[in-house]
Amino acid sequence: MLFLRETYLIALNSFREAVRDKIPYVVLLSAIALAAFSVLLGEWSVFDREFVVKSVTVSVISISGLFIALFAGIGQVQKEIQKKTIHTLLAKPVSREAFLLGKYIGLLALIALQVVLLSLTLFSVLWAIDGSISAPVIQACYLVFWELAIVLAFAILFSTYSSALISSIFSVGIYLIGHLGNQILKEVYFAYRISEDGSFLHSHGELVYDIAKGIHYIIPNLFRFNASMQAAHSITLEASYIVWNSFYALGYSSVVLCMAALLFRKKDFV
Amino acid sequence: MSENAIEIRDLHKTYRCGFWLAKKKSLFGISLEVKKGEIFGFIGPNGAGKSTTIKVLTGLLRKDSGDVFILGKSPSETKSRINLGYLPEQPYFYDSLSGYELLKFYGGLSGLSGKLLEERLRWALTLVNANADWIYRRLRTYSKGMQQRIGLAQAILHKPELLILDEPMSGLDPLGRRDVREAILELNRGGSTIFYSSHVLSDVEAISHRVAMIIDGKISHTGTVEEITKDTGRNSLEEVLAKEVSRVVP
Repeated sequence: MLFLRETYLIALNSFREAVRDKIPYVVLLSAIALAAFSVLLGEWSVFDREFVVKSVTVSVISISGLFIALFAGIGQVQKEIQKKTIHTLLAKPVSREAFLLGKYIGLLALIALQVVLLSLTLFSVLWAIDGSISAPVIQACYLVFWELAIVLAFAILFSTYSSALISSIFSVGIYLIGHLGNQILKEVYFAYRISEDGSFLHSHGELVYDIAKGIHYIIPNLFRFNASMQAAHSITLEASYIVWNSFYALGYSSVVLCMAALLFRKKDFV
Repeated sequence: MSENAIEIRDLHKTYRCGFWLAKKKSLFGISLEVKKGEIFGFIGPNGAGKSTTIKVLTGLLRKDSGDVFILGKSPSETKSRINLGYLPEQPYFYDSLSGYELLKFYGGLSGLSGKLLEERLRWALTLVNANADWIYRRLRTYSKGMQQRIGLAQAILHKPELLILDEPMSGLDPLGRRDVREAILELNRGGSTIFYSSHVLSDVEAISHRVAMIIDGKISHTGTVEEITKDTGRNSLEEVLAKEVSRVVP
């Protein structure tokens, strides 16, 4: 019970601090502006206007969420350590695990708010252009939230032991590799298949492919959360796919947060 | 039940610092006992190991070896901090919060809520002589003195059995120092054990029941002010400290 209370209070404080910070507003307003701009893009594009609005806005929700995870997630943990506010906090009967979990939940609530607000913006734009607010659009927005939940967990993990800059680079790296993982694996396999006799790739191709496969399994597969094309083409995803991905994100985030807690437990606060 | 609020036996601590994580030893087997109900002054020059010792006590630093107990528990246990109040050397707080919000947050973490929390807030703010007007302002607008008062208030909100204060008088004007001194005495009269570090030796001499002096990561003297000055043949703690420091840094 004590652990839950500590976690709740830290989450609440973390959310309040983030809301009072200016960065989420800047990111959110920019994202809303971009979503509105997608209408113009639709006008200029050879594609259908509704198609462009849906695909662009879902991507904007994802990228702006990444920025919030970076600025708020890494920023808050780093600020606690560098400004030493953590010293008074951890001298209370608060476990380090509760601190990290509280931070994560508080910032996840901020990301949820961001996804909801931008989804409402998308629905408003679709309504204004007589587009359809169908299930695939809602599914795509929902999956973006879980994608960001994983990225935030990584941002918290990196920020427990490295600087803000390094943590940001690593987190962006996870986001990019997570999205391109499938593609990279395909490219490696293709390169191996077409490699010439005697070349390094031909002789060590299987090893290289296994390494790429290993990395692909370790790094989260964020591509599975990208349903912008399904939303744009109004293809409804199966309920089992949505549920399975939610559990995948929950499980993955839990493992990453456990790793963060293990590292954080041994940390000295000088 | 132990009659000691703090027990430290043969404590060693090494830091790793710099890019190559070079080792730097900070504490060389210090031992210390603070009895319940005492006001215990912890003195020494800058870099002697006072803050390191305090951070090990509060669980912010992990010891290399030795035994450390606060109120009979190891600092690595979260429960050891239920009856502990701590004021760091230069307290920094969430500057987006007001003093009132901060105290409510910390009070909640100390297990207080509802009417009891409000009651303790009023009590703590009165004790540290905090002005009711500015506690609703954001912390980023606070002066050093205001921050120190809020820092002390957050440490005492839950009426802890043991209060650890790291340089509670640093950066304060004479009136601020007087207020902190009186708050320490009042809390001690209420039954709290006070363990504090300070460079203001006149205050240490005035309010401490016992004192420990740490020089270069080793305890050089422990006892009452009278015992220490008598044993060393000096007139004041300042003279003892000056002599000890000159021995280490010729």
